[in-house]
Amino acid sequence: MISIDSSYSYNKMKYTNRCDINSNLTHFMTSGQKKLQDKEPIKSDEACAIRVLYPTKVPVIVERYNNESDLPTLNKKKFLVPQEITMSQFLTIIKKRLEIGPTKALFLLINSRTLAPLSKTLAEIYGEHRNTDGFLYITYSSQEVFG
Amino acid sequence: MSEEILQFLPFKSFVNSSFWHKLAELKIDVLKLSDTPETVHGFYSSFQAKSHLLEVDYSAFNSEFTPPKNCFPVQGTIYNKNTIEEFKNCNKVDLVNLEGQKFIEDLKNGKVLKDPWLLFRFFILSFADLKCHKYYYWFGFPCPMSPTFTKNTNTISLKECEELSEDSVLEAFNGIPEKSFFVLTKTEGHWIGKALADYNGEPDVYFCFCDPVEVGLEQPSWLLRLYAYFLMKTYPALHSKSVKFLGLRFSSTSDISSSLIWNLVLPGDSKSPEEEIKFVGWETNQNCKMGPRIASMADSMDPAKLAENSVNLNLKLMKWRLLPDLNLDVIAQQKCLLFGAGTLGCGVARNLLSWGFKNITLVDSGKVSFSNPVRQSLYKHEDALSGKQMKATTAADRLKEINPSAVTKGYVMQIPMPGHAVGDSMRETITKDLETIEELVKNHDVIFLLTDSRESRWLPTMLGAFYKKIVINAALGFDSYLVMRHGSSRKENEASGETDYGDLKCVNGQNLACYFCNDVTAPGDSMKDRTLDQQCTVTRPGVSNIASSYAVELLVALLQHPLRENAPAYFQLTEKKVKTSVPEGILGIIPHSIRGMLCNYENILPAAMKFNQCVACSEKVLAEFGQTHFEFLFKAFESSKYLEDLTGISQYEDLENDIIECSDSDF
Repeated sequence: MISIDSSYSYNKMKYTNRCDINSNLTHFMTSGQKKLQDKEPIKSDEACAIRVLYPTKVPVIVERYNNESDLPTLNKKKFLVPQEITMSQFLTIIKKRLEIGPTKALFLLINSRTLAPLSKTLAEIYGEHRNTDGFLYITYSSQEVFG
Repeated sequence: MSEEILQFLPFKSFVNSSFWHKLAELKIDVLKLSDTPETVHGFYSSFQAKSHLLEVDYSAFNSEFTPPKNCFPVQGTIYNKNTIEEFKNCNKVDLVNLEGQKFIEDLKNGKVLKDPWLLFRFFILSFADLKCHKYYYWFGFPCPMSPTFTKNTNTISLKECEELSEDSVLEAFNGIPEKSFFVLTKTEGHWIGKALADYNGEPDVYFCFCDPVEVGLEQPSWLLRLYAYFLMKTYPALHSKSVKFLGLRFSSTSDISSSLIWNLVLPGDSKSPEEEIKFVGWETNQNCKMGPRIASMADSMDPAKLAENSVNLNLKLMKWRLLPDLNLDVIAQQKCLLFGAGTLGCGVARNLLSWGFKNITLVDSGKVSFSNPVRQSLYKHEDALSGKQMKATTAADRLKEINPSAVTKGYVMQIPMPGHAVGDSMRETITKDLETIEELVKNHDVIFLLTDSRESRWLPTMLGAFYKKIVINAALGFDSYLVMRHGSSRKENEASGETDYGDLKCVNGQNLACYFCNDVTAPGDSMKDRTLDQQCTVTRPGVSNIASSYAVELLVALLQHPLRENAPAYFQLTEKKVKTSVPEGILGIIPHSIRGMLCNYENILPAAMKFNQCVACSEKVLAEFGQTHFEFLFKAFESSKYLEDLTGISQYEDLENDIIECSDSDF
């Protein structure tokens, strides 16, 4: 695991031409490419910086659903995730970090409204769902199981 | 010689209950909101007539009417109003005049001459209160008010008549096709029957008709009045002449000795053609007052049948105005299998009954306990008292108590679950249970997953996918609920994943996810290491009611879709308002899943694609079951790990090193 050194304080970095970064981004996207072009350009300096520094990773914010009581919260919520991994792999990683029992079921919601299709790659999801601030927002929540 | 005015016996209506049942059926299924007058038919008989009755029964609405044996047909019209107010406010004078005009029309255009049975017609003004099975009705037998007819000589019976013999009349009667009204003429010393149309004005004839009046009464029926009026209008040569009428009354097929002969003076037609003819003929009610009658069918109907009709009534009324295309038959035909007879099971079963589902089977292993009745709507405190009442069978019985025409059955059975190993001693029992469950899934059309754990939903999910059934899943959290339809495994065409639909995304029904598609964990024993509040269904009570209602409504909407479970689901990527609206079936949109929470009273309708490594519905799992059947199941029950290995979700490489975790302070 790579932890980011505090010297990478991106908000101190200056970007004069944000458009370049956005066109750069488009270049790196694989299957989400077309969608990204439709989208508004990334507005946050932070996400732009991340995309430039880690062109093969997507910035994701993972939060616990605000009404969730059973699942623990994550220590850290910002991740840079390899764009080629699938949502199922990403879910495995999150579950590992939550340190929950093997039978506990949960589900991921993108932007609090879309169910994450586990067969898709992060790049695809990012292309379709990223926020205008350049981050992909994902919440996790316990799967309903009772009858 | 007496000069007294002849009195006529008005017809009495006799309505068979089958007439009302038929009317109810027609009104609900065919006529609906239409209140246009409909043609009906009645009949009367002069064969052992008890009283001058006009009868109607279920056959009244037939397009080809055949009266019963020894009976004569009568043409009528029913004015069935939509509201009791319309029934009451209908102008009775206008209606009888309107109907009378039809009679005059038929006289003028020669229809009556050709078909003398059209002389007599009736009409019914009615209102059917289908909810209470009450029928308000009023019969009318229109007849011109004037003239009155006076008797020329005393009435005599056929026996007393010198020139006519019973045998000759019978012979004529039997020889003539149109028997309700005909003429007896003397040709070369013989009496022969003639159709009215063939009558050429010769004198000394008998105008015969079949008189539906009991033997012994001297008055003729209403028919004579119409008959005389017809002759007056049709044969001016008969005006002011004495005319003989023979009213045939049969004591048996060969005994007409009690038939009567009336001798009338036919008055001249005093009215000018322009003058308006007034009509009479409304029937009096049971109290001999002018007013409608009421028939209440509720008492005469079998209560179970009554319930069935009433249940259907509320559904069929939807078709009148709101949903003319609603297919209720498809609903009544579906066989539903409910796994779980708890809060969701009870709620779903009751909602199914409300929608007219008839076949409901429940599977549950539990007993009714004291905590159940307040939330599980099919049980009572009493059921818990004995400590022996099983939920599945009790629920099945209760459903029949609610709707006796429902076909319900309860199976007391534990659903085998992954991660719940089966010991050797239990293997035989479990095998039997599996056989039963598999057979049940095969024999039903719709599978509901309503159990209280994730792992118990696995087997029915897998079997539902394998046997290509509609699967509806409902699950509860503390204040949240999930209702979803599983993706269809019925392959109809080569379906692609997501497609664009305007501003929306569309997922084909074959590509929709199942309950297990959104996690990477095989179900296992979730009861281990759990405290009581984590094991039981601790939920806000409302969520189960909401979820069970949504589950049934989702199924009904799906059944109405031409593609059924293959119906696509739509979702939009952003929260922004988009121009494209979701295509709707007759009951609106058909979402893939409904996730709602009570804390903010919000629903979201996500649609997601199948997970190709799903532990329950992926190709690999279904193929393995297809090949090794129960052997595969026992492996899965033995250890959840088996399913994870089979689908490959346990083999994800360790990607930890590729993930970069950032603190907020990093930026």
